[in-house]
Amino acid sequence: MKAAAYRVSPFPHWRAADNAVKIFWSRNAALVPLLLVYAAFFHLEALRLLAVTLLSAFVCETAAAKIFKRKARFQSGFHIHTALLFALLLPPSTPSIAAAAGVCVAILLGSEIFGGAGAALFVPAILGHAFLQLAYPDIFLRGGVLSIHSAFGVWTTAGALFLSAAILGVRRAFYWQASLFYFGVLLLLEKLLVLDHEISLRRLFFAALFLLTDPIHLPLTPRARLLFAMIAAAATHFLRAYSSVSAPEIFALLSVGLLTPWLDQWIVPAGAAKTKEMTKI
Amino acid sequence: MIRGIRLEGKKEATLLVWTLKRFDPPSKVRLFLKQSENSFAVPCVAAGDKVKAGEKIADPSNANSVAVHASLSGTITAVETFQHPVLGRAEAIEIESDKQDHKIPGLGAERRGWEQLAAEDLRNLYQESGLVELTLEMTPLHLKTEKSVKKLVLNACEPEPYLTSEHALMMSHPVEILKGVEILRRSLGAEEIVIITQDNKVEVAELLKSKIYFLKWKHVEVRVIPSVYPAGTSSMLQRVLNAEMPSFEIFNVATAFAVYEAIVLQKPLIERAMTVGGECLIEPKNVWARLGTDFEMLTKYAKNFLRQPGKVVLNGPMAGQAIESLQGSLIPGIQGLLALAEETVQEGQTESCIRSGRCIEVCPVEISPVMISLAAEQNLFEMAADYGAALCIACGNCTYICPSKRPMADLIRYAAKGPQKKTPPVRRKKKVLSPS
Repeated sequence: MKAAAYRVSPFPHWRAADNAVKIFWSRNAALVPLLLVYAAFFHLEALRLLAVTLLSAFVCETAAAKIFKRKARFQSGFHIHTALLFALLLPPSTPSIAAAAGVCVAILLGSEIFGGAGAALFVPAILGHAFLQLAYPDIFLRGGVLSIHSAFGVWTTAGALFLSAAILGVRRAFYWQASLFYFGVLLLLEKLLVLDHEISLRRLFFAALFLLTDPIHLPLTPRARLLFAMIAAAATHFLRAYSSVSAPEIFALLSVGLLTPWLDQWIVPAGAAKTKEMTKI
Repeated sequence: MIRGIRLEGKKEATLLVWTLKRFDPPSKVRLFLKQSENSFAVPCVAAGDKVKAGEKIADPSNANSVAVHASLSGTITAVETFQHPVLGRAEAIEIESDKQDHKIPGLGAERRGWEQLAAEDLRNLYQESGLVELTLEMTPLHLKTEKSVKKLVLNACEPEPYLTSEHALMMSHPVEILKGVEILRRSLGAEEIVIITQDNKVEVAELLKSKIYFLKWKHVEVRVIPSVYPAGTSSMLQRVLNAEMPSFEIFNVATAFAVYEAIVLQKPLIERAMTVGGECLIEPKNVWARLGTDFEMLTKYAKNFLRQPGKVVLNGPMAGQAIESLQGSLIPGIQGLLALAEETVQEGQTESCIRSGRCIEVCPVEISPVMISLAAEQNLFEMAADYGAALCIACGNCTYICPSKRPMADLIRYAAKGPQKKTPPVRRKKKVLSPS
């Protein structure tokens, strides 16, 4: 009798259901409430901007696949996430060409040149946004979805942000402790060192939820993540207080993201730390 | 607190009844002479000899090995090499059943004066009865009980999903297990017994506590720990208890029961309780299986396959071993034979690390699996060692949890071995994500 051959591979023989693609799509799903608010308040302008960023992301992904000789996987959700985040950070009146340029910088320079998802040095949307802030500062004279000033708009956006946070939490698609630390430390600093200019809580909450917790620039260990969040909060506060940049959280996260490799080296899990000490001896 | 994962137990299917089913003996068995890398037995029978169940068929070759006994009555048909489930090909004695199931006289009868046996006599009986630790290490019990210790730890956790044979054994034979542990305690000269179980077996803990109360044993303590994997594995208990106890030895429930049978009932190690489970079997259940029974026969105990399994695994899906075919036969260290469905064992497509940090959060020994595996991919062994590659206890948590489906445990094992000519287990093939 011929014995049936079964697949043989090393342990473990089962895996958690969650995967990287699901994580990115969960983050995309968490952006939906904000996208709806965006579309409801800015109508066609918002839809145009979303179409431009998504199309640009698709073109960039295809071009990167050709350049780096690999298969394009737009459906992975990673670059869609970049495009959606990017659109939400922009005022709806942003010219299409500027938005497309920002997405190209974000995806090609911010991600693909380093090897794509997981290998990038910066969060692509943050890099793209910083680029536009420097290259086209006039665009940002008008506010976006996070800067709607009417009372109804404020409450709607705030509600959408809380819904986003709930989705991220339920899907375990963000490291909530880091968000909490960032937002908490920032509010504490603002309270202690009272500033005369207005604080945009919604922008900061958005940054805490989506920009800070992007795994690309978060350190690996829980302790390092909390330290990262506190440094990012301090940097945001510093830029708000002592600079004239219109998006301090963006530049704070961009610069603090550069600390991640060092934080990963210095703050290691307890077992690894003991081994490192033993090696030194 | 031990870090780990609360796994889906998947134990319900085999716990519908707490009995261990006993079947007619198989038509043939293959009993391996090699017990571990350094110990083997020497046959004292030849092809054509007739034997009874429980009869000695191989003597210990040296002080490090144990005797082997016939697990059914019949005729010796071969003494040659067969497929061993763990050690590749190894020498075994094949017995064809005479369908009579004759047993040696006295087997099953209570040994007179077993309570008065000295530690040395107990160790001799362990060796003569073929007792090994009923885990994949299969350490001969007379060697494991040589050194005296302060405490004896009974690992009643059974942390691997699907496996429930020890749970069933504890529910159906609690007193026998306690007596077995007491015998082990005497042979070790230990002062106390600590029974450790998990919070998914509260009924077991309560049952054992009530039996201990009525036995009026003051030297036995029952502890319940959270059922996070790998908290209940012996390697993890060893690490945790090291800090608390000066000297101790860990045994599992099946071993304690085998000790009871060998010392009290004069029954050598010829069968063991095991789980034949997994969603691809028609009736997964806990059974008494004769040693040497081939795996195909074991699947028949569970009424055969419901559908073709994706993988057949020995001893649990987390740290068990996948087998290529059902050609092997049962050795004492196998606690479970699992036929797992393709959708259960799907590994998913390996992607680049997205730095989720989940492997670090669930690593019970607090090393950095992500850094070690990234270093291993680049053959940076010193860096991997710095991040604690040598401390890995191979629980598989990092591979299980990784959202990028990277073979972390494999890479860590590769890194821990140090520089060699082999290439890393899996190099990054794709740098993009897929919707798998």
